[in-house]
Amino acid sequence: MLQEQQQHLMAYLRNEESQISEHIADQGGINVELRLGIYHNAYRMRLRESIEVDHPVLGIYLGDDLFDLMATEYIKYCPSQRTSLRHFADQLPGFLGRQAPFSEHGQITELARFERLLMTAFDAGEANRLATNKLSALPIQDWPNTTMRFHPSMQIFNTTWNVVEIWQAIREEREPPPPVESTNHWLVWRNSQRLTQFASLSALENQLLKNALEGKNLAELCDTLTTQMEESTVAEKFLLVIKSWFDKGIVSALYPKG
Amino acid sequence: MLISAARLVLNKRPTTPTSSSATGGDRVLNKQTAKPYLGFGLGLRTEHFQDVIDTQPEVDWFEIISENFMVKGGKPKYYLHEIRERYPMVMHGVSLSIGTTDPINFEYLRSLKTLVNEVQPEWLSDHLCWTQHGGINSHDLLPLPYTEEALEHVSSRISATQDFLGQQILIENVSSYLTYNDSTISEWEFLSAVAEKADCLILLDLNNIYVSARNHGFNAEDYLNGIDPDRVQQFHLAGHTDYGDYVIDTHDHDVVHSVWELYAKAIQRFGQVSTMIERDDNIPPLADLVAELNMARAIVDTGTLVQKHVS
Repeated sequence: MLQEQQQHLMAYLRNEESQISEHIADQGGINVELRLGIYHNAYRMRLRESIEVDHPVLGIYLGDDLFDLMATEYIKYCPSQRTSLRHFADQLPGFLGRQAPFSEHGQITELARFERLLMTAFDAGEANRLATNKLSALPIQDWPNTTMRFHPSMQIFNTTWNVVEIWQAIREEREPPPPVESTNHWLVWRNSQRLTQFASLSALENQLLKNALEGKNLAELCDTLTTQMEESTVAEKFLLVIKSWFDKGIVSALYPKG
Repeated sequence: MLISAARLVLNKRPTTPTSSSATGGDRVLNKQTAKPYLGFGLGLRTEHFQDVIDTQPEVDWFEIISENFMVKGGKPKYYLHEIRERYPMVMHGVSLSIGTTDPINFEYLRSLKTLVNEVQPEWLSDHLCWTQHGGINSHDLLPLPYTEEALEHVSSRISATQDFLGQQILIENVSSYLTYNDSTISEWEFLSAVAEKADCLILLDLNNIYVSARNHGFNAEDYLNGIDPDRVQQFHLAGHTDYGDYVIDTHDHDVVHSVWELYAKAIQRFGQVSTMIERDDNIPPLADLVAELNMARAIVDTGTLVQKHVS
């Protein structure tokens, strides 16, 4: 009986066929419909609020009607399977990418993806942040084979839309620019003051970071540059880029043996 | 319009102890039941993180929502540890779903145990309810029927949970808005029987008793009188929203007069019990909550509810 009651109440909350009212006592006072309605309403409001709190800019960008539609549909098709609301909307970007009318506007799914990456950086694990002098202290013979490990909060956001510009405009209460399809690379990370930051990455930096994340050593990273610029400028450019990673606090370890 | 039931949703006190404070060298015990006594606490909320560190308020302890800190790092964990160094803590969960007929979620229990090891709380608690079914989480505290079947089911799961965690847990009564046809006993009889059978402790939420008493038409004092003082280790106080015909447990208002009255009666029956105020929405400045907490202190100190202090 207990299992049946739970199945019916959960189905009722989710607007599915349910005989839950047959299990509920008429106690006088407010009627059974209202008693059940309190739970029905609470279920929806809590999940909707969770999406809204985690995606504040997306909410403003969509406006009330589209946001309501998105929340209603997401709650229907992607019910929470996790114990923490923190993860309820993990599937939201993918959902928006396949669900009309949202899927017809590529910037919407990208905006959701960006806001979720900001959350990931916000509460990712802790790790050391190496200062630049750790790099300069590296014996010269160790340089070629050295690999890097990055701070767990570091994320690369590759997008084909100008969503970060849209996000920034809304945050600053400005009119967002019209959506434009263009390839953009962004670095998202949490700094040493535990504030989430993002910065634009050139195509070259993006490639270098991607390679470094894959475990390529410094010699291999340098090779990435030699195919794309004058050999005489490679060393200077390479040092400049690597140093900027240390300055941002995203390098957590150097492994001289690879 | 129906309003959301907003529940849910995250070591040493440096200040001079007040007369009813629990702080000091040795662990303070309830003289009546010999249970550990922490004094007067607040729910730790994100909005107050920095204020707690900056002002070190006259709060004896903090209660955290366990799930809010089941993350790897960043600000939540930073503030958790900073504040833990300054205050005793207890952990309060919302996702144990002790009454679900789904299999026990050991992944959740492992996360909980990890957090227990990290925080070293004085104790931990969750609710007498179910939150998930069929792998889907409602993120709400859904009521159980008060039947023999539910009693056997819940108490065996609490026992298994306590075995896994290696300690007793506190189980809290929830606010509820409906009653199942097949319930055969009162909520307080059910809670008492569960605590006895599972050998767990009780977190008595006085606001929830008030809310459920209004919604179901029972006498809140009968509830208090039906609970064994030896099992009660913590009180919750909170505000609610009163719609006249029914009351919803919203945690977005001050504690109301009727709940303070019930608290005074609870103190008479249960003696010194660690008491805290939960506030989850419409969150006021920390100083306002500390002032509200002082009303609880005054009730314990004087043994009565002083009318002029009640707004």
